[in-house]
Amino acid sequence: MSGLDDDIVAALRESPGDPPPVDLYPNVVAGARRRRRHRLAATAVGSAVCVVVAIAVVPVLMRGGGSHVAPPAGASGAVAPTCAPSMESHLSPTRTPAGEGFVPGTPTSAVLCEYAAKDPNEMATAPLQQQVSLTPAQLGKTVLILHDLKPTNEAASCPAPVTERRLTFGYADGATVTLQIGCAMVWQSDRVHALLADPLRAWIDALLASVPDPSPSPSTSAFAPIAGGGTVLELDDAQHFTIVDLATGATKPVALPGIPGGPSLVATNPAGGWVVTYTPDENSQWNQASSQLAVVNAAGVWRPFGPVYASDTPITTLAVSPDGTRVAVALMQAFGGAPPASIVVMPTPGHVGPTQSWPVADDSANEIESLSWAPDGKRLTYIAGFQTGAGIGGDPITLDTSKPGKAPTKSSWNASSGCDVDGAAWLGSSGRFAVVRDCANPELVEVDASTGAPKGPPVSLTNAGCLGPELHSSLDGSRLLLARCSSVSLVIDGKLTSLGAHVIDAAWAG
Amino acid sequence: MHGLGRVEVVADEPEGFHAYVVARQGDLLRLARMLTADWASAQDLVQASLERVWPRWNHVVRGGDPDAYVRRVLINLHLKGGRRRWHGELPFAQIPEAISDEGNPFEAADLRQTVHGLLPSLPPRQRAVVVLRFYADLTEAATADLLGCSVGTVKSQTAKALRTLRDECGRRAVHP
Repeated sequence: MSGLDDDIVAALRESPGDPPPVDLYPNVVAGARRRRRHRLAATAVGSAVCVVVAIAVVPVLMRGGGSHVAPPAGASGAVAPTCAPSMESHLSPTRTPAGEGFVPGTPTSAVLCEYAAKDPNEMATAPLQQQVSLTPAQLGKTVLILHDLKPTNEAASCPAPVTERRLTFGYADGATVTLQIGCAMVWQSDRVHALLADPLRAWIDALLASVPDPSPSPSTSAFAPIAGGGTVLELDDAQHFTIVDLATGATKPVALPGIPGGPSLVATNPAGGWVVTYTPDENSQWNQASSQLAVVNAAGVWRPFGPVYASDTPITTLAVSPDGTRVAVALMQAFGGAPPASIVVMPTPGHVGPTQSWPVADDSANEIESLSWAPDGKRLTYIAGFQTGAGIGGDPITLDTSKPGKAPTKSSWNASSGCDVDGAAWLGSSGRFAVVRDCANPELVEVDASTGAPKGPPVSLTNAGCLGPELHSSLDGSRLLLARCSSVSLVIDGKLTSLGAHVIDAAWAG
Repeated sequence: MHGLGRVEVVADEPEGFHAYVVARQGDLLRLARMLTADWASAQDLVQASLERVWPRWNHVVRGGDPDAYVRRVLINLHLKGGRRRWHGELPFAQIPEAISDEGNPFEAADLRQTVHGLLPSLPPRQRAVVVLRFYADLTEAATADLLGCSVGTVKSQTAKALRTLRDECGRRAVHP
């Protein structure tokens, strides 16, 4: 380090001075109460459930992450550990060095918990995806493998999002030890960790693979019949399709046996059926997967079309033109040096036309989301930004595909009103536009597309911090599907109805 | 389990929270000031962080280290805000010149003022790294844990930040 660096570091260590005299407490309390009021109405039931779970689980998470945790007062005997229903990184346990290796003593039970991929900095929770209670034989083998791990000072990093796995051992006295297993490291405490060895990785994968696939979708309806009926196609987090009848709640799975790995994104084709994205190379890692388009119908017949996009430019969003003749996709610049992010418009199967591409400058964005066709079938609206694992946001941008040389333009009105716009979509042929704004509380707002004037009051959404909402309007714009926070909701006249959980995307089916 | 969207049923006035805010708001404001461009932004950041801590204060206290928890929330909000503001300008905005409420840092004779004035021009993550490492005096491992990255990333981000600060200081010839 140079002398100048030493001086700079010394300067950085100095206080910025005394803050202006202010009492933040009244504003903090007022703001916190306002936040709570907004959420209470929508989450009252969920809150009650979570509080019960919190009472059962938080002591383990907060106190048990890695050290041999004493049983709670009054507890006696072994209780098999269970998985918390969700996990958030900033509640990582405060760990103390155990100094006894990765599995101190003799555990009597263990549970392996896998949580959804998430950015470590993101505030939203990561839901539990899989849970495996180990058999005695599996427990013995796991302990043997872990005993071979050697603590190290080496470090490793992984690209976000990271799938988190936690392995919690239970002891006869009720204590627990939790290991955090990342993509490259195993942590038993802040100071006792090891690089994730191949035998352990393979063993953990085998344990998780022993769990049967989750059911494709809820078989019964959890919502009241919706006036006007209609059908919706849901894509659940196991990548299965299910058609849901809004009038009766009846569900019907759509088998797509030929699509390797299942579809990833879906868009309604106004001409019939849907266009989906999928990964042709089924066995690739999530961040090394190529992507391709396919047309799908309700009978499960599918046909791929268009080029296979390599893992350095995966498809992030798609939209079919109002007349069904073209599909627009956005390609992400997956890493520095990869081809720049771009929008590609190509004909759908059975139609002819040019394939056009609009690259985005490297220094302006590496990801595009929320592609949506305007009713005129010429303009495309989207949101662009740099993906760092925490989602992207910004005012909608419009590209006129009928004028190839014309630069895209930002909306002349301020859609965000000072908030982050996470998602946006044209509302069919209505001339209205919907945006999801991540303000102090997230909300869905309908606006006039030409003036930006709000159309009705905002619809409050629960669960701040969710990434990448998907909005799908009906053809006439009277109904909107909102896929967000692993669930899908239907919005009609400002009223939001939850259609189901564990859904990553949805589209109109009729 | 404790996402921002979840509501905990807690007492309206969490026990000890007021005392904590009174005792710690000065230090939190100074930390936030190092991460932001001015005291007003620092107040916003600290207030937003404490608002998020308020409903789960009892859990935070039981965790045993409320400072660490609040700091993590504050850093997360800072990084999210930085990213979002940055992206909100895209793709047509120009990156603005650094703004400081302490006068033009490049004309300041004092290296501390200059360096502090240059901090807002660093990318949010680099700024967070040097503030946590040097101002908050955290170890590389603790900084990595707080930022959710590897120690190697902390080292490389620190080096990049120092290089930027060094180049700017040298270019402006403010170093004695």
